[in-house]
Amino acid sequence: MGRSSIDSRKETQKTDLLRKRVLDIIYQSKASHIGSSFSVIEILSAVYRGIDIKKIKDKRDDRDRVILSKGHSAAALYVILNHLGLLSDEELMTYYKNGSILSGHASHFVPYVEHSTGALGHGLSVAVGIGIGLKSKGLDSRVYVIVGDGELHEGSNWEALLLAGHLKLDNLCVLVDMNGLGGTKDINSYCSFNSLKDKLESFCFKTFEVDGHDEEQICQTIQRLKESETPGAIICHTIKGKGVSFMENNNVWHYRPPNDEEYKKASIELSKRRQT
Amino acid sequence: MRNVFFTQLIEQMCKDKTIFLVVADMGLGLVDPIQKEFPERFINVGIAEQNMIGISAGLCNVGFRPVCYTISNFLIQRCYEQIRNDICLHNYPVVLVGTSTGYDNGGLGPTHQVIDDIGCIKVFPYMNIYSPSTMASVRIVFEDIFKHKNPSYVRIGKGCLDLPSEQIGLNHMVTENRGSRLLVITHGTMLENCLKAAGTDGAFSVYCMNKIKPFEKDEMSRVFLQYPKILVVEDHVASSGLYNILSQFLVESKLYTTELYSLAPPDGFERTVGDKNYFADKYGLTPEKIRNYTTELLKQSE
Repeated sequence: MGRSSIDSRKETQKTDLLRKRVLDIIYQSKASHIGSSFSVIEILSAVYRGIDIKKIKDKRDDRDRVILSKGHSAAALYVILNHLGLLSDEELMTYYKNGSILSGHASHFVPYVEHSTGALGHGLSVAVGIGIGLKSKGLDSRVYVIVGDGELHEGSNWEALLLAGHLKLDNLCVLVDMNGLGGTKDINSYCSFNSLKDKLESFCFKTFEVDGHDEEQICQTIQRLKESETPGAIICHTIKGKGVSFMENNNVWHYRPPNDEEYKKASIELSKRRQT
Repeated sequence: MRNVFFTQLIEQMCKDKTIFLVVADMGLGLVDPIQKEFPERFINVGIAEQNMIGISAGLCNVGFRPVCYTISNFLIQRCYEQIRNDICLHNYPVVLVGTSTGYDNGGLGPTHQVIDDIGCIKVFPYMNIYSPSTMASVRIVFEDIFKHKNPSYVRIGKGCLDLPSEQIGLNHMVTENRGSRLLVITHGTMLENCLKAAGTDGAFSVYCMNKIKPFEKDEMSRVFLQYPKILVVEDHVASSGLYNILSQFLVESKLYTTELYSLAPPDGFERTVGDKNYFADKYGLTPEKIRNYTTELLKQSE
């Protein structure tokens, strides 16, 4: 079923609004990682769209779990939790400020964040453990883990992927935020995956490649993977810094916060699209 | 002691449906009965210790209490960051069981000589550290672990010392000579050599710490106040082992009149290999060498 241009525009308006909140909290607290937070917005939004938020609110055993392994995108996670009503506006605005529990990397001290991350290459193993545990308990809930492409250089991920494939852990869905940039530059220039899809498929993952800024496409792929008898992976092709022209594909925005002028320019860009 | 641990584990797994055994391709012959009995609560992750710890954290997230089993050098050092961030930061009640400690695998070279594990792991918040010394103490350690909901590390050396029931406790005086001015404090399989060194004449008292962290500070103060000289004997470097822990305790408790001594391997890597007895002899940890050292200490007191 095709989507109307109205649906598509609504989606962009929503994600621009989410990006504006990310921009606000990072600007206010002079935090880092805005580029990584912008690239993952649609992925996080799609994942949470497909799960029962009430079960998360009620902390039920049979809730789906979301692990943000690329923990440096915490600002995006907190904004999404806020959008879902799981984090108050007041709390959100404390992000990265002295005395706040909203740290620059995802923290389980924040209600409804399943696991603290920040050191890369940890989330996949934890997600595999959750997947094994859910099956052992006879629960048919699912576990979603969002990893960065640069993060996949950590060897621990491949231990987790190997075992998940062996176990045919079909309740596991790995979403790769493939923005192509590591901490310094294009990851293909220093340690290429060649074909990540081939690699994941050889680890027995049912793997799809999607436009990582098309929330609807990610949602549909998540649904398709529910039918898979093996673990699933979605390689989401994204743009680091997506949504603000001067931040896109510029790794300066891995590290530094926008100054006053940049904040104004970025705000205008993000609100312009909402008004059209 | 390993066999006793697995017997205890099977008993506990029958009682407690949350226990989940996670192994990293270790435990030949020992884990098979568990895999057979509890297939839904057992997993062998392969030689992938980082994954073992991460998986255990995930199992905790869904309400399990994982017991991770492999040899200590891989268990602690290979996955140090996973233990810190995925287990301790979340205060998950994972039980890390490490074997082949001290110089149990001395012949395999420095990669397998486990003489700095306590030092590595003691810095982590919430972590309980156990070093069982006798067959029966494994059971006591096991009971203590399941009384709390914090992470634990159990250091199981190769040994099969058995003692009469009145000499068994968690942290306790094993032999007491109230007339002696010297107390030897030890942990793990070194207890056997210390008791042999004390001999039938009980030249000094021997106190055993099956639980190294945390310990009852009031009880330890009472023990310290009874003896002007205390010697810590261990198969772990003094700089970060029990000697280091008790030195800090001594200073913090202002027990300045107590003289604290150490018999332990020095910091550094071994170029040569040898069995457990070779290294015990090299570093003064045989019953004879402990006896000689204590005799000197007692002479100085006269």
